Amino acid sequence: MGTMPLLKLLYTACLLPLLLYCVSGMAGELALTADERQWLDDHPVIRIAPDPDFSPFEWISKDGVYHGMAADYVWLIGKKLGVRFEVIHGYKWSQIIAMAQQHEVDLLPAVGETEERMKYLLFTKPYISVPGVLVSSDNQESIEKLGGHKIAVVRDYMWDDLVSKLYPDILIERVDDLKFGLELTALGAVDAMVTDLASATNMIQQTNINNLHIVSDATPKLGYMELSMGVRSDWPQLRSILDKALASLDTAEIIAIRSNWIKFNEPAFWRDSNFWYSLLIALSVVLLLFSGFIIWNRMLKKEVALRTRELQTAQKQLMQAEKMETIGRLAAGVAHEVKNPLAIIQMGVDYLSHEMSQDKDSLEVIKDIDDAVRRADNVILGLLDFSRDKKLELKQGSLNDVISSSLHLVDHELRQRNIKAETLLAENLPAMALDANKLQQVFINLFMNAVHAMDHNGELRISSEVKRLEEQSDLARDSDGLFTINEQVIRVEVADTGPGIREQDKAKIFELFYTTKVVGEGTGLGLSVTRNIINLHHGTIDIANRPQGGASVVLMFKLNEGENQ
Amino acid sequence: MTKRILVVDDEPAITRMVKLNLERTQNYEVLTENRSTNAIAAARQFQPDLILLDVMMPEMDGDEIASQLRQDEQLSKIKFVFMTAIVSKDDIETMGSNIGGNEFLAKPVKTEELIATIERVLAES
Repeated sequence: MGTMPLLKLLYTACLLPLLLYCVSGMAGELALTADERQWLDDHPVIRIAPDPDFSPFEWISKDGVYHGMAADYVWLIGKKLGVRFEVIHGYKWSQIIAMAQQHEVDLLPAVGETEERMKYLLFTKPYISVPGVLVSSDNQESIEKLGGHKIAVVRDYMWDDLVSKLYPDILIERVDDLKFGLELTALGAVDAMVTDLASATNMIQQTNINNLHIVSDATPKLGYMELSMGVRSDWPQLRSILDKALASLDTAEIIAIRSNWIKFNEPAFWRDSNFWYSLLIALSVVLLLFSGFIIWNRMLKKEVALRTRELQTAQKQLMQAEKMETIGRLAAGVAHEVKNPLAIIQMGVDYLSHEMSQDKDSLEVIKDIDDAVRRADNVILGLLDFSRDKKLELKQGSLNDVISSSLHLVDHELRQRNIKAETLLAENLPAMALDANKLQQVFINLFMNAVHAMDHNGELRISSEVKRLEEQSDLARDSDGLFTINEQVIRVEVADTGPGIREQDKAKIFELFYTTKVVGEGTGLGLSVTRNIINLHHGTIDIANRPQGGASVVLMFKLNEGENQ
Repeated sequence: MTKRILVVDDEPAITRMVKLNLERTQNYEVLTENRSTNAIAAARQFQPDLILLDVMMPEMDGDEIASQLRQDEQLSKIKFVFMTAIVSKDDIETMGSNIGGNEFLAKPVKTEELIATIERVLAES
């Protein structure tokens, strides 16, 4: 990239102090010769003339005080040498140059070495080095392409000299100070300005001009602005003394001076586009996260509400099933306890009706007792029938759907007991005439039996398929002898990894009130009711142990006419 | 020719009523047994043509008694009629084949129906 926006550069300008270096590299003792000491004694006051407007290197404030990085060097060296530097001020730079030519001042503290200046100044080794840059308002790529254009330089600065020589076809607009030059550039009165990086960034920041760009790497020929101290040419002793003094500065002293002026390199963070980009990105991310959180929260709420509803439905259904079981158990108990006495009364009356006199009144009494027994029996039958499933409400439906919805209803129980459910439901299962509610009762019953058998940790495997009964072993699971060889059936298997079924329980497991569960856990109604419902669907149910352990319940249903080919 | 009927039920009043009603017809010779565990020995000794069995009894239920007697070749010709107090007629229709494919009667049963059933079962070859 040839150019970069000013603000980006401001950001990088904090690297600038790295470009400022110590003249000698290594600090050492200040070892002056006797002649040099004598010379200093003879010249206790040295007149210095700083550039009044060359921040951050040096400038004169309104109250006449000398400031800047070079000033710090000067005061430190003055202290080391025991000389007093008298600051000459109140002149423009061009006037100061003129005075230096006339030896009216003794030392220019921060000045670039040019051939022109060598005529009247002796230069110490450079102690500050800053790259030269091109500043423009319209993204100029390179000074090389600015032939015929106007470029501003501060009059008599080293850039004046350099640009004039390197680019003779550039029209040079000499200005009195940097600020004015930058203003001209910003306004478009000149196409660009050549100066050093430190001054440019410093001044742009001070003046708040924000439409300027600094071409960072397009001006290799401009090189570095190296600032030295310029001593009047007839005072070679002073140049030697100053070189020694600069070389004697130790790293700590140099760092102390630099750190005083590092501040100017730190752009205000809000002026950095990166800051705003970062802020924008951060805000976007926060907004995105927040929106995501809100959406997620709402989805979660909906999900919770849905699950709660489902759970409530499941609980209601299970409660209803339990209620029916309780009624069934009660009815069975009542039936057993009441029907035996009724049987005694019934047969007792039958006997007496033959033995007693056949008068009209006796016959009526017997008939009344007979009727009363019937009535009482009907009440018990009604109670028993209430808890049984007698009739089906058949509709064409998918057995897979019934299996899935039943599994969903026991899902909570499965998760609580860490039982994994695996379903392998055939996609091509044909619809059949079924009572979804009743079959759901069947599957819940089978699933819960498996769950109780496994207790905790296990696998419930449910599969459905259309199967042709090809072998006798297929028919073996047709407990009612309902199907024939080669017949196609809908076959559902519910397998668990529990302990399986005991041999002695096999024959009776589908009998009414037969239960292997401890008192209070099961009523024995479950599998008998299950079998009843399956039979009403023209199906069979069979239970067996799997070779690999656990029980397997197989249901087989007739395929609809026409589908059995 | 009178037929021998063994009546097994844990309720003495029932066995008594059945015995009275059956013997009144003079077509049957009836032995009653109220303890299910004694039923098999009673059957061996009495050699009945038909056993009227209560399904639910303490100690040993009717189905178990029937299956044990069926394994005995000498007793294999015995017919069974089951009586139960806990199912309705509809149950018997839908679940009748559950216990050995035998005839079921739901208590309370009228004597004429009991006799009709016994006769029908006895008539089966």
